[in-house]
Amino acid sequence: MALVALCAGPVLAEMVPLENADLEQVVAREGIAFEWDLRINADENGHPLASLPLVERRIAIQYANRSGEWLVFKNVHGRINFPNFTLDSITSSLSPTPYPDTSRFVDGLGVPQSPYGKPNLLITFPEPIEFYNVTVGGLAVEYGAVPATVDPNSPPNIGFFSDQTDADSFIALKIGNSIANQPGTLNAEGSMTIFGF
Amino acid sequence: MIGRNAHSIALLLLALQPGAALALQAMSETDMSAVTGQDGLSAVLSSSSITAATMRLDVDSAEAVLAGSNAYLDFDNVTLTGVGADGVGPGAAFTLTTGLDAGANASGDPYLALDAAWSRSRFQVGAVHHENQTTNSIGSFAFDSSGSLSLFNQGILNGAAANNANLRLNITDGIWWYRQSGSEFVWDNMNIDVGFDGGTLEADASGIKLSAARFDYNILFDVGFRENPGTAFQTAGALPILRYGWEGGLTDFELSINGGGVWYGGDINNRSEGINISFRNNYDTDFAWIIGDAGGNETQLKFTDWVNLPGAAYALNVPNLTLDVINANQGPGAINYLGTNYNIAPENNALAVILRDVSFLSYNTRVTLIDNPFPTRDYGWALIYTLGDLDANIYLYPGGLSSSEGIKFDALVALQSPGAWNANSHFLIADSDAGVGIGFVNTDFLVSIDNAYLELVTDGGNGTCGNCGLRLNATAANSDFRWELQALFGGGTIADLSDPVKISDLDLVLHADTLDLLFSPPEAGDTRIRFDWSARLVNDSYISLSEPSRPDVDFRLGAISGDIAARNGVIDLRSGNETADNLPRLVFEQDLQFGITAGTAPLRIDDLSLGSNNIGALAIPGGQWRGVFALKEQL
Repeated sequence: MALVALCAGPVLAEMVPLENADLEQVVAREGIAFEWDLRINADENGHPLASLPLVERRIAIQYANRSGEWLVFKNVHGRINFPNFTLDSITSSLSPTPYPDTSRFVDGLGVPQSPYGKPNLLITFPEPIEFYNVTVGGLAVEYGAVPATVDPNSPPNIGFFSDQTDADSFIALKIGNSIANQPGTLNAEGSMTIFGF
Repeated sequence: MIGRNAHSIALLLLALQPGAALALQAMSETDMSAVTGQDGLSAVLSSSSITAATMRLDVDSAEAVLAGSNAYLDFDNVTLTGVGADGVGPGAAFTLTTGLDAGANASGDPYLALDAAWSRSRFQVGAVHHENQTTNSIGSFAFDSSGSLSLFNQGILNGAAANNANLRLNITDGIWWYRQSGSEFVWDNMNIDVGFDGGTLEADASGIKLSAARFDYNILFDVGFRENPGTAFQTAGALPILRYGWEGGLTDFELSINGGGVWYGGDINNRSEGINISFRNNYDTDFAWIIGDAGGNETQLKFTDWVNLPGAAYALNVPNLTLDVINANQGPGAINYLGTNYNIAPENNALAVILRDVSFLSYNTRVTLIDNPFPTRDYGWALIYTLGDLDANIYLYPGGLSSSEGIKFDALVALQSPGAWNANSHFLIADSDAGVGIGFVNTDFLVSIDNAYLELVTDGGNGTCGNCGLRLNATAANSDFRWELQALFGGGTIADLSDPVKISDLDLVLHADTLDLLFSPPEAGDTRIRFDWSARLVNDSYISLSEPSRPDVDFRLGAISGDIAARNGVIDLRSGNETADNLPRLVFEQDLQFGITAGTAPLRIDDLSLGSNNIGALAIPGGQWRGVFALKEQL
């Protein structure tokens, strides 16, 4: 590696560009970073997988005491991509701001705790989070008890399988970009620190 | 019992001090070439084949509890023969040369030197089974190697003269095959250099003991898979899976091999016949754990600079590893996990592997990535997986679910965090330069698997390996799988996790009546290890996330049931020449399938609760969620 002499003195030795071969020996910083790509019933552009029938792209919820009634999210598909998020650490400030409310910091048993000078996990999203065609095709209410096992090629028209299209839905949702196959992006600037008691 | 086909035990040379005249035959030139001129005793065994129809391990003949109920393990069709490289040419001649010499040091203390060396040869076993399960077999195996073993000590097993023993085992280009139903796992390119100088080797009433301030521990091999090979026990056509091994030294090394098998009534001093082993050690500064690709450009990770958790006397401590052949219903009894006793009784004669009180309280603080042709990188990363207290009862039986060859097994493994953070179980990814990690802190988990099978499977191909590999098959009518996990999800300063960052307590029980897991080798020319799994959950499964220290304040996904599966799973140490930014990554990916996409039972969470209040239920009737997770360096 070509080294530049940083010895004391008013005049530095003449600097020369690094050769490519020298640059290859330079190692980047060592912190940990992650990528997470989640494709819910979808391909890389967020379009629904052709291999999945419509009836296999749904999620259903049932409220307590409303047995047999399902709120069904239909034709759920899309891609959410976290291309880069990093893990570091930070220590919270050693002293409070002028307006501390220490009653907010208690442990699970209600015992007051100090939030100052504690280790924090620091998570940063240096690149935008990408949303590709994140879609709920329809929302509908369906009725009936579903057997524990069904024929996957011909599920019975009952419960969360009642209407196997999304024709009877009353609302839909889509998050994405109006340009085909381009993501809608969410810039999460700044950092998130996590600490607890 | 042992039939001997030694048609050419050519030479047994006793070069002792001159004594009475014997009737001697002239040596051939070939035999003479194996003899070197020195004093002492030298024995050379030369043969092309030594065989035994059956070798039988017979224990418990004098067992008081099960009097008259001997337990046997049979090894059928055992052969020792010469062989060429890569498993080619079995049946060739081989030689075993052994030298025994006596001497003394400058003080006049007597010493013995034992040196043994063997030319390239194969040890092969055709079948392994219990005597009451003769139609089944665990499989067959073979081991090819050349190597040497040397021992230098003040007496052979003499503890009175401590730190005077030198012991070394070298194996060159060893190959181990495990063969089952026509396919083989291969541990190839195995090079071993282990041993110590200035250690202690001794024996007492309980067994044999070794100890050394430093134990050289250099073992490296490539794991591969041969799908339906035309010829058994060769390396041709093996698909490389990974490279694995260790280099450097262990410190404070102690090993004890003692008599005594499984115990009764919870009394560890009331053992049947068998073997129990204990060992413990720390890691020297040059120690490294190596894992990487055996194919492609052979990208490697070396985990180095190991440190113990504060106060840990030993990095690894295995005080009780018991190996025994047992009868049905024989065993050490239950394992207590978080106050509850769990037990699986062996339903047939079995090979038992029992562990108690294992601890592993060390972690690496640096990782070296060798990724030719890119520069070698050094990271301040730690992959922390400390074990506070590990107990296990594992029983192995011969035979597969639908094949006579395979390994049926029952396993109960409990890992607990018994005390303070520095003696507990943690699973963290950490930046050791920053000194911080994230993951599971103070972890407890239990794995119970009953009536499962380990099988080498093929999809009928011959080396192409679409769905071949190692299958964990727990799909029998009486199979059962249970995984419990209790941990704090959080992190903090890895040098002191006594006050960790607490994100959430996690309490998880996944109970399945079927589990089917397949690990497949990379396809030809690829380096990605593949996996698929599927399970049917029964409805006592749950996942609970709660405020730390307040398990009653939880968000609960309870009464989970239905089918879930992962397809197209990949674990890949991805080289820089496979990524757009030329940076390497450790990648996990899978298509997670739910409900009728995975099987026939919709995935249901019938108890969705906040604390004690039921919110309702959730169902995922079907679906395929693809997740790709990668670990890389920060830019």
